[in-house]
Amino acid sequence: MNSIDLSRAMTDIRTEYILESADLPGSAGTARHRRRPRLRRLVTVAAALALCLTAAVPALADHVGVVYQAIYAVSPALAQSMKSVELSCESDGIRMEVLAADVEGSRACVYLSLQDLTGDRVDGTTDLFDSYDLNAPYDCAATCAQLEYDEETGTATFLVTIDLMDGEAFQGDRFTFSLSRFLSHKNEWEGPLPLALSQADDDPATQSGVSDRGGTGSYQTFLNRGLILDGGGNCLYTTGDGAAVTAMGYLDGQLHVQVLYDDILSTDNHGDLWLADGDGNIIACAASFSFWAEDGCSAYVEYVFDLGPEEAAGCTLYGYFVTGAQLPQGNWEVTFQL
Amino acid sequence: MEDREIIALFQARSQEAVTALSDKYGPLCRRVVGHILESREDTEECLNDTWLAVWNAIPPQEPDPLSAWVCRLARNQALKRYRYNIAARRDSRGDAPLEELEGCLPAAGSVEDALSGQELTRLLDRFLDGLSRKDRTLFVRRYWYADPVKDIAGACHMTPNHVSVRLARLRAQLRRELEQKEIFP
Repeated sequence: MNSIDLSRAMTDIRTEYILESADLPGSAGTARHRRRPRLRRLVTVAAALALCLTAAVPALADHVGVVYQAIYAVSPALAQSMKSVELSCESDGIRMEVLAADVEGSRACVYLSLQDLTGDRVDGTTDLFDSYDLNAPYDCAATCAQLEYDEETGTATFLVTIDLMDGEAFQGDRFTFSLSRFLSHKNEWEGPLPLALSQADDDPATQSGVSDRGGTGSYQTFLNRGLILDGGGNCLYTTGDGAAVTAMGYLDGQLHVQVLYDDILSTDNHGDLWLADGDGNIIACAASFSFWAEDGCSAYVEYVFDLGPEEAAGCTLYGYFVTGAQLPQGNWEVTFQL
Repeated sequence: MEDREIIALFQARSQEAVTALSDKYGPLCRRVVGHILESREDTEECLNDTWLAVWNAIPPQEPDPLSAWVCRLARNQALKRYRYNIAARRDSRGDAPLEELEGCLPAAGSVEDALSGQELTRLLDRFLDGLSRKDRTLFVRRYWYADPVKDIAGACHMTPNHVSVRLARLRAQLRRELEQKEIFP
């Protein structure tokens, strides 16, 4: 079996999955959740008013996650109607709370706070990563971003923006926001790297057949031609907490600099490289590409600068890295009515 | 034009049928085929083959929904061409979603004897069934529609990095399920 066999088998997956993923005509998922049109409305209220506390009788599904998930898979609207409103929760000493909601037409802005009651695991760099989920009674898109951090109380406030896909207004249905882990205490660093470009190898070792993670510019050319540095496990520079320059060299007349970001599946380790010439002019990379390391959870990013050895001689290598985050885990879940 | 009107044109063997189908579903099919094949010429040939296949299939078939059915035909044509190109080394893209799927496969040859194509599809259905709507959308858009990560990120209001990471987790999950199938055939 190869990937084409697997992809051929993919071709015949259930029609509903094909339709729902692209909102194609005839999408059963969309039709099932479509609601009767109502007049659009503008509602801005405080959480205590906007989010109904007079919930229905707690149902079996409410506190039985497996049952709830099973019902949600079949009928999100039914599952959500069985959920009772809970505007706050606590897990492992960290409290999540719904502060307020602002509903306008088909868009809702929900303000959530996260506070560590026992330590300092929540800080100004707190990032919900991609570990949050929004269960909704019908199709919607949601994003989440940190708004502010209050150092005195150690509380981070987040804005969850929910857009209904059909453009209709919210009708008092319940939404469940859950979080299983988040990143915090990220270190952000930017500056010149203590690496002279004269260290770049004129005839570096290369590799091919890497597991592609995508890239920018015409990066496929490098993959197709095997113009990929092989650092052989070397470390030329490390931030000490998740990023390391592993190789520098010239391939086909261009400067390649390779960085290894550790365990990106559990952290948000990432960064960028650029050059500055003698006059301080910024030279961005012409292309970059990323591929998985052998451990399957770390990733290399290779930055390609359109400069030969002579042009690069007068340049300085700069870096920007975000590394070293903590990853507190728990089971936070709030349900609110919009 | 409504799907049933397009199907009626095919049933009447009207020359307008292909035009109507192409007008309505050409962009969608071109997106799927174009993301699998590198060459624009290959894509156009593939689409023409798809319209011919539809012409030959209707009647007697009356597909419902037409959108997914015609998309499936286009995707099959694209995979057929992709396999031909790879065999002849006419296409060696490293970024194709198909190649990402390699990572889902257990050791070479270990599953192929145990699973027929239909069984594999059923396993994929079960795998997709167990995913959240969001994860399923990410997986299907990447490995069925072959959408680029940045397009998926835009459509799903996520960063490309998050999409990439989430897809990697999903591939690892699928791999585990395939391996489990190997152990418990």
